[in-house]
Amino acid sequence: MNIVEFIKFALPEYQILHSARLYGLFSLREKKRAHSEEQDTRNYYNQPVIVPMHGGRKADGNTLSDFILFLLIMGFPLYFITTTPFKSIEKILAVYETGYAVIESGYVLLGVIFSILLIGISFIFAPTRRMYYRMPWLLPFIILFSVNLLILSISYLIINTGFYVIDEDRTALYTLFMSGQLLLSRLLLSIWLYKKPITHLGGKL
Amino acid sequence: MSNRPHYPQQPNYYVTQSPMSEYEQFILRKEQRWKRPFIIAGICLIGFIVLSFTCLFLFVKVDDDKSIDEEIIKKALEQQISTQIPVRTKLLKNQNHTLQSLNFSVVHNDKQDTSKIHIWDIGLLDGEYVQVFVDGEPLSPPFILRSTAKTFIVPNNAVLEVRGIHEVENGIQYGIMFSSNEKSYFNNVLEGKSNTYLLQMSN
Repeated sequence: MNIVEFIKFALPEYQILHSARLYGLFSLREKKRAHSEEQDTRNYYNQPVIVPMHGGRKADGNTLSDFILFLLIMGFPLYFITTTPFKSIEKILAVYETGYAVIESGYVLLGVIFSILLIGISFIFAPTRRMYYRMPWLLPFIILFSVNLLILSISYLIINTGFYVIDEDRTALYTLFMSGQLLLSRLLLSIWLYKKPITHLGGKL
Repeated sequence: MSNRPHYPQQPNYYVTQSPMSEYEQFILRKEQRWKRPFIIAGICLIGFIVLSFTCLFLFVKVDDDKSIDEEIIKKALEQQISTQIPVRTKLLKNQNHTLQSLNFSVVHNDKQDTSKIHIWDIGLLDGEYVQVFVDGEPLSPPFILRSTAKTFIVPNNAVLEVRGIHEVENGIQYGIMFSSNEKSYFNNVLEGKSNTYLLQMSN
């Protein structure tokens, strides 16, 4: 395993950048077909007729209205998923530096519930599912950041309970436990995503 | 036009449906491949939320004791002593009330050598730390105040001291219950200062 391979192994976030590099932020931008004579006179006689998937709204950011719909559905989950891991890193550092547990408000749980609901909705319905083909980086992004959020929340929980009683042995034990959990779960995540990379749903024909 | 081979006239149903672009065909192929796993994942996520909500409503008990009269709570907040309020009661859940910092003498009839004390947070959990001393010696390292009461065994003839270690706002408001006279005391201690409780037998 050379250095590049090792970096790919240790930082699975590479897959987000990789898919964006391969297909761009918006894959296969559909060009408006000019209604020229050439296209109008094209002969479809031997072609099979494919019924369009759905003729309604598509939340994939092709036009402005579609982009607004995309933001309405995915805006909050994307904001929440990107900011909360960094916030929990901040909290862990604050607990470690001050020596006192930091009690978070219950709004984080509400945010988790709301974003999981919206992501589930975006998976189920065809018009919203289209955004994952249009934006190939979206699926690796959601998976990686939500797993990171889960890992960091668990480690925050561990270190916080460790600092409920200010006793040197206890806090040292819990800090060790937390770092072990962080390293182990990151390692498991790396192994999982190295063996089975997330499929980029973009692509060229 | 001259290059085109001659075809018979197209039936109507071919003309009415516009052919798909390459992008649409690509999406259709992807869609056929990824439809099932995506829908299964989405149903799993939403099912997880629904399941957790039902668990929340069924199994999580909110320790909001409604059997206590509001007048008793009001009286307890004024006098800062009560015999009717049990351990773990959240007195300051809805009120914005700041208690006074007082020192008490706990007079009891208990003839045993030791008795129990319970300390709990009467407000919402916000990360306040206290430490308990008996005759100047610490009973335990500093600990966080929570709604679940922390229990200690103390001698029945001693000076008990509750010292504030870490304060968030409005001082550290806590409840302390002595099993020797079965009274609850509600008190407020600032960071770095302490409340004393003088435990003594009644004559």
